[in-house]
Amino acid sequence: MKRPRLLAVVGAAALLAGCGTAATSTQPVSQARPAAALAADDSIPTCDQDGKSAVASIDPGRITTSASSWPSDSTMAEIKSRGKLIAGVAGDVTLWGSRDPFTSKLAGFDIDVVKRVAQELGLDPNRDVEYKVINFAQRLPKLQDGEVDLVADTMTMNCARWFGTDDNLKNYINFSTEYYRAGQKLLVRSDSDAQNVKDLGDATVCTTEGSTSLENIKDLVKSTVVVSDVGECLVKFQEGEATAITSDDTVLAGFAKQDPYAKVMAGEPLNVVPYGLGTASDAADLTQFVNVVLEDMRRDGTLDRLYTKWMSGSGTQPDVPPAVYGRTAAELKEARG
Amino acid sequence: MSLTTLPEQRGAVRPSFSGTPGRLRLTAIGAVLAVLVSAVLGAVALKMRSDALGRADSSASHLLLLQGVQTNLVVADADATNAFLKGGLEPQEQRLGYIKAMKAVSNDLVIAAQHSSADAKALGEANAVLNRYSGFVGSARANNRQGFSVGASYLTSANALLSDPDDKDDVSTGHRAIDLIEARVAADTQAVDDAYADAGFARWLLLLAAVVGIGGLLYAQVTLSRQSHRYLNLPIVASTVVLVVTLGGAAVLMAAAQSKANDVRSESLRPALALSASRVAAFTAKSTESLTLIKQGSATPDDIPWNTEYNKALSLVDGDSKTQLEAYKAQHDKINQLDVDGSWRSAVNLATSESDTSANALFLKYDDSTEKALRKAKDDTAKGLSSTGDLLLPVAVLLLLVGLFCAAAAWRGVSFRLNEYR
Repeated sequence: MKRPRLLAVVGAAALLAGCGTAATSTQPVSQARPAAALAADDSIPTCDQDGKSAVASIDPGRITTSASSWPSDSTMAEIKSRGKLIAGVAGDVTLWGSRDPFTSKLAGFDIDVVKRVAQELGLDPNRDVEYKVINFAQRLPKLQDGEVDLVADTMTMNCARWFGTDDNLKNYINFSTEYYRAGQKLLVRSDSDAQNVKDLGDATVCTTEGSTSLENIKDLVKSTVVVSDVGECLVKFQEGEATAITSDDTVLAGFAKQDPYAKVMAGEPLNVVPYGLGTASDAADLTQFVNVVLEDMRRDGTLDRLYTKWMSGSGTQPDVPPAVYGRTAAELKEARG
Repeated sequence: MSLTTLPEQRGAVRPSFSGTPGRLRLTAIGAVLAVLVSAVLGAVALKMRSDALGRADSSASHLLLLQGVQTNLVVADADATNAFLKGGLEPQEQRLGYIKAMKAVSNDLVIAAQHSSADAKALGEANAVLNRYSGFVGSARANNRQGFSVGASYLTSANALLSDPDDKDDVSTGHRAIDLIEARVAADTQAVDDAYADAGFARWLLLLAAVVGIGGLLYAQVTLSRQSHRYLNLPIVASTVVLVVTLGGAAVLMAAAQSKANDVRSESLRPALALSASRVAAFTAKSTESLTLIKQGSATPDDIPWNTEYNKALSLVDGDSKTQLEAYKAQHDKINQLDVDGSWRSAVNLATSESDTSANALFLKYDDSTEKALRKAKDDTAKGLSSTGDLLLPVAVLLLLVGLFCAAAAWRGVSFRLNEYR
């Protein structure tokens, strides 16, 4: 970061020590903490459009988890009156969003987060959530078209998604605060000696259309095979059509769990990948509400428990990232033009 | 032969064709040639029609065989995708249905590939893709039974190997299996059309044979009458009558064969092709229903991919089959609506139910009725086309013999007149 600035931050671990009560629908109404100064984090890009970090979200302000704090025309009120939360999730990312063939139910870290959001909206998390299984390339369009209320699908917070790209200036969404910090890594055969991407030689690397992993890797490897659904990469890998897969370590951990002859390459990640929940650009109030819910999950230890529940033993279990604020709906609108 | 002998030979030939005897000799040669050419043309016409109907038979049989392969493939895929929705507790009947359909596909592909070199190449390629397909389905099932989510990815990848209207080629597989088979089906359809057109052309050749043969004999008769002042030359009259009768019989036989072939085409072949195409579209719709559920959240109110296949299937059947397909649609619409409304679990329960009023049970009724009708239409086509041209070749041989007889008679008839000049 080139210049000092104030950004709102809430460090869950520091703030919420001793607040480990289980999340229930009867827990006290919570409100996000006021903004605080944020220490510089060079691993996260700053967006040219507004000079703020890619992980900075919209301060919750007066929004709380109490329905009485929601304006009657708010997105939350609309969802509640509809009686269901519509969430875009992955269906083939083990540990994060995939169908358990035995129960036919979706399960994973992201699914648990969605359930908590539904619960805080006053809905039944097991009955009142409509899941739409989407692939990576569909995440932004589904939000923009209003087909889903939020996307919980290992989605990277970056400036291109906050503000659009030169190709498509209108292709933007809002993000919640960061709830997991993953890293882009490589999955290789268990007998591979490769230590980093340069050791891959002529390897064909599989990655997913519309993912940040593709943009990050395409100049570093000789050939890539691009698929629409990330699960297809494991098919290509097991069928010998791809010698490696690049994606977030969270996704790769799920692959390694399904294939004993695959391993996630050790070492530093190629890139840092902060996850946020996506909401539509015109639903800033829902973004704020989700931030309140994530705040609660940091404070009551739910996020810690989810980290343990889903990522324990995967070799990929970072600390819960602190919440970072600093954006407002008005400023975003202006910066987006 | 030395050059000095040529004028002597010319001198010997010239008197043979000069004067009245010469003109009679030329008439005799002309009559014999006309009859022989007529017989050959007639025999060629008969053989042409016989060959064309044979090709129509062969191409139609191959066409139906390939459509059977196509149908069995989509039957297998519909079974595999619907069973997948049940996880490890897949219905045994569906598993057996998948195995039976794939077995039939393998057997029929081997037979179909022997039809032509183009078939061998395309169907060999299709067979390679299908090996991959069945491998993927096996992996999908194995992973599904172990609780690994990659099973769904294997199933999606398997389905993509069959056909993808948006992307005909795949980097790893080349062409899709059903697209390869469809290309050969199109070639067979064209071959059947061409064979029928060739068969139609044969009648003009027979007409030409009649004009040449009968015209030649009539011309000889007239020439003899002028030269000899006798109205009738019995051998030539007899050969004319025999030739007319034989060519007339051949024409009747050819017309009957063509008429029967046309009847088979309109009453058996076309219905068989329509039924077969309807089944391919209907089973594709059934697979689409299951795949849409496997990709939870991909259902849309307009349900375009399913409706496209359903409408195609419906437009090609009538009677009970149509009613049964419409009954299935009513259940499918409920499944889709539940999925669109977010009641995915209920949608899956409805899609995998085996009760009498379930989508599966109603679809099975359509499957049974169209399968029976298709089997009958196929049998009728095979029987009809295989026997259509049975008599054409023997009659062609007879016509050649008759031609020789008529030529000899014509020569003999003129010889009688020539003897009067010796």
